[in-house]
Amino acid sequence: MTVAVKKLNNLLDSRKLSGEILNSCPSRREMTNATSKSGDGYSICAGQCRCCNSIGGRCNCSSC
Amino acid sequence: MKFDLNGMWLTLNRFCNFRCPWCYAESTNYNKNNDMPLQLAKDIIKLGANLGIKEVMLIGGEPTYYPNLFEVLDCISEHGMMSTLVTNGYRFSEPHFLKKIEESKLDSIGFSLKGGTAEQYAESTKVKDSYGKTKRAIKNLSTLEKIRVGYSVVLSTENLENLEEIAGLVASDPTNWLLLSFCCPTISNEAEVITEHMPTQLEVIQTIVDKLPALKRILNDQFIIEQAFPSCLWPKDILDDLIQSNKIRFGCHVQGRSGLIFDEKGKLIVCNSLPNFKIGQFGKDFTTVDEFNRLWDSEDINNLYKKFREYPVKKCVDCADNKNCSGGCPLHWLTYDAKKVLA
Repeated sequence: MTVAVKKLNNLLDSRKLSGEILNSCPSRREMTNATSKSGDGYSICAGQCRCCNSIGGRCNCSSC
Repeated sequence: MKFDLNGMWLTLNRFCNFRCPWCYAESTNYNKNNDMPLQLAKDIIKLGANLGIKEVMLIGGEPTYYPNLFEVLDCISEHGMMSTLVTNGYRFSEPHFLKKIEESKLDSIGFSLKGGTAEQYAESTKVKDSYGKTKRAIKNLSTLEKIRVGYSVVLSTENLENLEEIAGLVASDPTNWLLLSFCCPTISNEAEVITEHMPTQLEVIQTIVDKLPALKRILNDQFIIEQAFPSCLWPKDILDDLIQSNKIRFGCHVQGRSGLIFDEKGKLIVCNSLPNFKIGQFGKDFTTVDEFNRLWDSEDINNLYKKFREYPVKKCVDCADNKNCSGGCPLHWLTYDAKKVLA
């Protein structure tokens, strides 16, 4: 592990969150490529999962 | 695990003519000598294309001052990818530059606004005529036919109260859209969490709620809120309305693990708010697709990205709204205590 990755891990650990990890949809490649109408360049995260309709790269469907 | 990388940010330079105090680039001293070498830019673009990436966002500094901008745009186009230039827009007030852009292979422009009034622009950017030039640039860009233009503003303590004026600037052309994005903490090399220009979560939400009718009217409904907070902090009726009308977005490329950011030296970083934490470097840790995939799917990087997808508190796991909620920006919890905010 590089020093930077270790520092980043420590930084994230300092948040003391739940310890529960959000499911990731294995079919993330099925996310729609929702390019923004505003052309802002920051819209790539806004895809919608075709299997469970979750938004933003997250998936909560039972198959995941 | 299969990863769908669909976007890549290339930091072409660190120089900028503006000096906005909330910018993540502030810690780079805007050094004119920190340009990405053209060959490095081409090599990274080629790698991105081989990874299946479809869109390249060009960032800085201010990328319109990058001397090899048009060569980079040609290269992106040759690889069949889309390009977006993320810019303060200042140079689009220059007819000569506008003409060159019009004739280039650029697909879209993300025009980042800094305020809503002349005073606010001058104070934030430290450039006297920045407001006048911005207005002229917006007017000039309305004449472009092939290139898509979108406007955005990062809501900071400096401009939050001037949302109507910012909307007014954008609405000078009725086809324009405005993206409202939220200020996030930036982390220094010493792991110091910088939040100086970040309004509180509740200030941002309350301001948007108060100004929503005006925003809808001024922008003729042409706006999108790229929000960075847990859904449950928003008033439910307002949130439902925004979701229904497709005016709000959740999550980010870090949580979706769908984007790559390269700094001007080819170092791979997770987020622009973490400019000093490189997780790999082009030419050193990877050059080919196989080498990149080995790093990207390594235990260290997988575990790191998992931490960006951690639910803030246990009750989020069973929350009915969690499919619309990413738990907010993972870096916000460096500033806020999730257990208190989401009690």
